[in-house]
Amino acid sequence: MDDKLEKALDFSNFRQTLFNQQQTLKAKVINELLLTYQESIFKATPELIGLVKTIVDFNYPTVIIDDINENPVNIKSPKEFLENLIATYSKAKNSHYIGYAKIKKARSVKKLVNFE
Amino acid sequence: MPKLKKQDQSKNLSTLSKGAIFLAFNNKEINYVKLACLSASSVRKHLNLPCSLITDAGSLRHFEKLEYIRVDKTFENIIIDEKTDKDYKKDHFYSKYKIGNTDNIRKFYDTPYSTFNSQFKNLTKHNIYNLTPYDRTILFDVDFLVNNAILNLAFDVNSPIQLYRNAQTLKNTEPDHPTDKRLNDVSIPLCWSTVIYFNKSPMSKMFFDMWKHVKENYDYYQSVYKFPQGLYRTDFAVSISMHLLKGFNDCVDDVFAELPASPMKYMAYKDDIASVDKNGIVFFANEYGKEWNNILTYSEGENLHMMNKRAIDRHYNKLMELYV
Repeated sequence: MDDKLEKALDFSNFRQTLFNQQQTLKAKVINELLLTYQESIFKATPELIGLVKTIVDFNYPTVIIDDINENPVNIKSPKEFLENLIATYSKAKNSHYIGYAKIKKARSVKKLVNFE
Repeated sequence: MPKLKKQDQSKNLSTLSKGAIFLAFNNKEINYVKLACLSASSVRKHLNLPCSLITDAGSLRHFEKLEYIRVDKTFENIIIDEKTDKDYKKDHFYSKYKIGNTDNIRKFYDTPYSTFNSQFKNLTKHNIYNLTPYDRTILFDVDFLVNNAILNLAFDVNSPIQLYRNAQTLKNTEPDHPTDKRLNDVSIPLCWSTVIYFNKSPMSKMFFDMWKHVKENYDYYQSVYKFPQGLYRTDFAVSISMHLLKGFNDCVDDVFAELPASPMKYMAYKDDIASVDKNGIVFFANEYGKEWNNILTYSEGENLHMMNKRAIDRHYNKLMELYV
């Protein structure tokens, strides 16, 4: 095979694997963003954190938030909920950052998939 | 049944027992008890749950004779399902779906290049509600490997039934096979019976009773929902049961909720394991329609439904090292 073509195909394989590993990492982080509170599951998104922070700043005693199944839940302690959201978000994003740095460093398919 | 106040329910939640349960009935081709030991080890490591095994006497004897792993160290309860063989003989599927002299046969792939037929003993899966020793249970298929603690969230949610409604391949795409998405192109979406959370509530009982009803009238529901004829697939029975109990609506609600960490990631029958390192698994992800083409993927910290059982067997000891 032509040398240039072989290099291009190698690069294409690398990009395909890189994309797949990035998608895998994203899916893993999305799962890590989940938390349970008052017997319901929520996803700690920046939007939800922003909303709950606003509620806390306005001193609302309770707030109604939809869980991931779109069922409304009456959050009885917005401040505690906010702390849980932030802790979950930070932990998940930290793991995203570490995983991303590892993928970014890899320069071959073997490195990307930890294949010795 | 007396109605509990909301605060009483939450108070009781912590005192209710919880655990994982596995069904394993060996056949000539696949040692399901051996697979159950691996899956239970992953559950014990990552979810820290007690595990129980439901099997038949023959499978257990066979396993104990051949293997060095102590089943009683992995499982706190081993429940011998005495009724299984009788049930199979009484069941109309016993004579209906058969190849030669063997019944309810499924064609299994081991990579695109090798296939084998094997009996699929799944007709009594709905009995799990009566057999589980726990108040709150997660039923696992023996080819499911737990690699994180996310499924523990299911115990904190006030939904009596939780299962996966979506799945994803190793390449992070939708399932290649149409019947892994819907019962047919224009039918209801597929729900997976691979992992099911349930509690001992009237609602859960209703679900398992409905599952039994669908199984007993499988031909009728095949003609209504138009799914492929042949093998009895519990995923189909579960999907139809949910659809019936939801009043023929396709919706997510607080009774039949989706398990946390959906979609369920799976290794298809045509995928293979390339190697297992100390943290994760390297796979050959096969391309649907281009069987000669594989891409390497690495999975670490993700729950995995490992459909290719022969591949698990080839790397069994290495996989077990992930969970010791």
